[in-house]
Amino acid sequence: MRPLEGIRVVDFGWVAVGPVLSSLLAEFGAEVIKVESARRLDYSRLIPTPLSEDEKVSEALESRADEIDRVPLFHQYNRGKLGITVDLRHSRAPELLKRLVAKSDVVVENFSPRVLREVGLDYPALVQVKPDLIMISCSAVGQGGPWEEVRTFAPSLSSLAGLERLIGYPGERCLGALTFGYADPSNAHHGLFAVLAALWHRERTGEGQWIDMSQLEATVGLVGEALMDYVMNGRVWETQGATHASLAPHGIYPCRGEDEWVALSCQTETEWRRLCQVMDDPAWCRERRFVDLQSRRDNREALDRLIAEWTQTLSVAEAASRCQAVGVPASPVLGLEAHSSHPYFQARGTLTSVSHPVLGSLALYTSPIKLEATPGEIQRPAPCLGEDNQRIFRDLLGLAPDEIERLRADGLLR
Amino acid sequence: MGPLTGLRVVEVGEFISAPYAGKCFADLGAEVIKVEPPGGEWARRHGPFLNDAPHAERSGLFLLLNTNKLGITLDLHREAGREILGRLLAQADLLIENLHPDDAHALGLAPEVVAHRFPRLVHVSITCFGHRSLWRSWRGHALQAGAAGGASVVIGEPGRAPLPFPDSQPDYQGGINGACGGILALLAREKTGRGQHVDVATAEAMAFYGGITSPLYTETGLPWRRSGHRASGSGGYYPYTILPTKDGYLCLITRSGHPWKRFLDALGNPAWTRDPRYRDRAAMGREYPDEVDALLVPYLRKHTSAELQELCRRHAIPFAPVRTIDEVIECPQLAAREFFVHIARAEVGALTYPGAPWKFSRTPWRVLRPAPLLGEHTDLVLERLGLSLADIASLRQEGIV
Repeated sequence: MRPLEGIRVVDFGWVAVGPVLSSLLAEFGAEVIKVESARRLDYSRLIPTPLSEDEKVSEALESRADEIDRVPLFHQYNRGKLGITVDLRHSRAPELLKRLVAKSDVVVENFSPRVLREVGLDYPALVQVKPDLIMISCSAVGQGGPWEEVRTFAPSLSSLAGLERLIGYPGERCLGALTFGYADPSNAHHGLFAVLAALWHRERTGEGQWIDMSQLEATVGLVGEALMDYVMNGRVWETQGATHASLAPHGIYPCRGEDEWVALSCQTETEWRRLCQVMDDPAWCRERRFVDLQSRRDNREALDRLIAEWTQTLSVAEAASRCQAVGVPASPVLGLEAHSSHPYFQARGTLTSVSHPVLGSLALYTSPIKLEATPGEIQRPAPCLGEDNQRIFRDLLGLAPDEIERLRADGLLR
Repeated sequence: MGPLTGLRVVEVGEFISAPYAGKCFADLGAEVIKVEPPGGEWARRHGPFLNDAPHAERSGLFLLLNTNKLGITLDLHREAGREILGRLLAQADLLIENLHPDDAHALGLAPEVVAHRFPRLVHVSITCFGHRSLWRSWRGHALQAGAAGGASVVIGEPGRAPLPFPDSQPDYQGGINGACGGILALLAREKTGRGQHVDVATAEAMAFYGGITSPLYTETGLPWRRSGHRASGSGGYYPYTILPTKDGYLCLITRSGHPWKRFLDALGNPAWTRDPRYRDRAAMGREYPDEVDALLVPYLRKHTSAELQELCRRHAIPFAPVRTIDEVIECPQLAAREFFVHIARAEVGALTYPGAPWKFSRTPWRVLRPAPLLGEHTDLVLERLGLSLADIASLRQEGIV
């Protein structure tokens, strides 16, 4: 039994936040129906070969027909869903999709606000066919406001939110963390929480509702300390490096070997004394400049240099385990390969294997929300384009085969 | 009234992860009773402090993360404190804690103990490495979660030390994952009649966050490694970079070529844009992105970030200024949506706080209450449990509350 069994979700999500949010609903038991169109492919199907400067999406489909169902990123973002194709810009799309929404519980979308409004599939239209509908619209900056239509990717969104500006070595230029794309999974989870809260409310009262989420706002809310320091003291934070206001040492130190690092910190005086012991109590540990947290913070550069002299004599595994053996927080800096090869992640079940008709076995990341009694499960990879058209239009909506054929010929189901 | 009004949550949380999870519940209407040790939790000592003067009631982080909660103090290292916590848990739907597994065990909050005593209670644990875990005994903060989870390895410059996410970001993500797990388990309880343990490891949350996007790089032969101010190999296609402007920085990203073309048009298509070397976005991104950066910087340096943002908005180009926090607070979009809220509270007066990122059409969110003063609601909550004022006074005298 999974917690969301019996819940049906219509997923208009595209690229990242909406799709990842819905994929998590699927993992915890919901039936998620992803609505796409060959006329406007989910952009993550085009990740390996993006549109060139003069190319149209319809042309992209022609030239990449073999590629679009096999994109590993697309499978991470859309696993566990059924997939149908409906051209949202077709005049008959609202009528057909309203029939689907009438049989569903939740709608997820992360378009620019104008998109569903223009095609007549916004919340006011959909709630008429499903009075207790739960719908989340999670656009970049929310519904309304002067920037309503602004377009972002995860790192440009977190740049707007003030987060990327803090990333870099102290006193040096801003670097950001562009590779990681932090804002997308963060926003997907913030959207998930809101949908779950609305489901809980519906369970209690029978009422549905519309959730207007701003990705920008959900990200600004995470820049807590910098924000409050500005509000209270007028201070504007620049690049932070590895500094921490109440931990010292707090840093990432080199270990023996090529590009090997240990992340190490002390919170209490007890932890600091234990770290000194593990380092064999060098004389510098007793110097006045390191005598308490404030002194260690004030003399942070010297402290970091001395700790690095010690960590460099050890393998990263030794450094981490020696610290942890005496209760000092420490961890190796691990890369992606650890997710499949390291016993820690293996035991957590961080990756699972799902079989795909063409790609064979796919390694997909499982949700880190580990429910002991009713765990999530990834039951299928992402759908091929239009894979479940028959199942949804014929079996769920009861369309006759010749009608489906007519709608296809008419350009609606593609 | 919020969507979670009626839910009863007990939070034994400190610093960020469990308090942020508790805040998510409290801000949507749940009653969250925050249990602090008699000396107050860590965030009260962390700051930033009003006027930079350390004070347990003037920590910005604490004030931010504990809005809308009731606050009580209990010494859980003593039997009488644990007994009162047990009475609170008997009436609660949800326990959220971020104790180290050994500490949870010592305080009678090991998952199996909680499950046995309170079969309907949902118990959310947020730790760095997890309870059911090879590294169960390991200690860690946001720093270690990001390092183990594969984030730090991609932040910073090649050949230099990896960097953590700033402002303890992984802790916020442990918090939101724990919050989601809490409601999922409550929805499961509607069907099974039983609570359960939710085991969130912040390190694993970070592994998931980076991992799901990593094929963008790994599947096209780009390493998941630090590459300074740009994404590794530009994510395959130029641009994917942060460049300086006259007064700050601009984050330039597009996947599709259309916005890139619009950007070059807006620049007036300088001569270099006609050189075949600068028409192949894949080669530009993977092989000589620094060269292309250098061609753009003179133009960007002539304009402020705000001017460039306006240009990008006008031409539907998804680039954005890398804003400082004062610029964020002045943002017209956030103002139009009334995102920031003003809350007055003893010891600090009226301050600006971020609001909730969600607008619920039927159950609109409101901040009703500032973060609790230390032990502010101890009497209220204990009286509700049936303790007399005399009982409470004696508990206070013994230092248990």
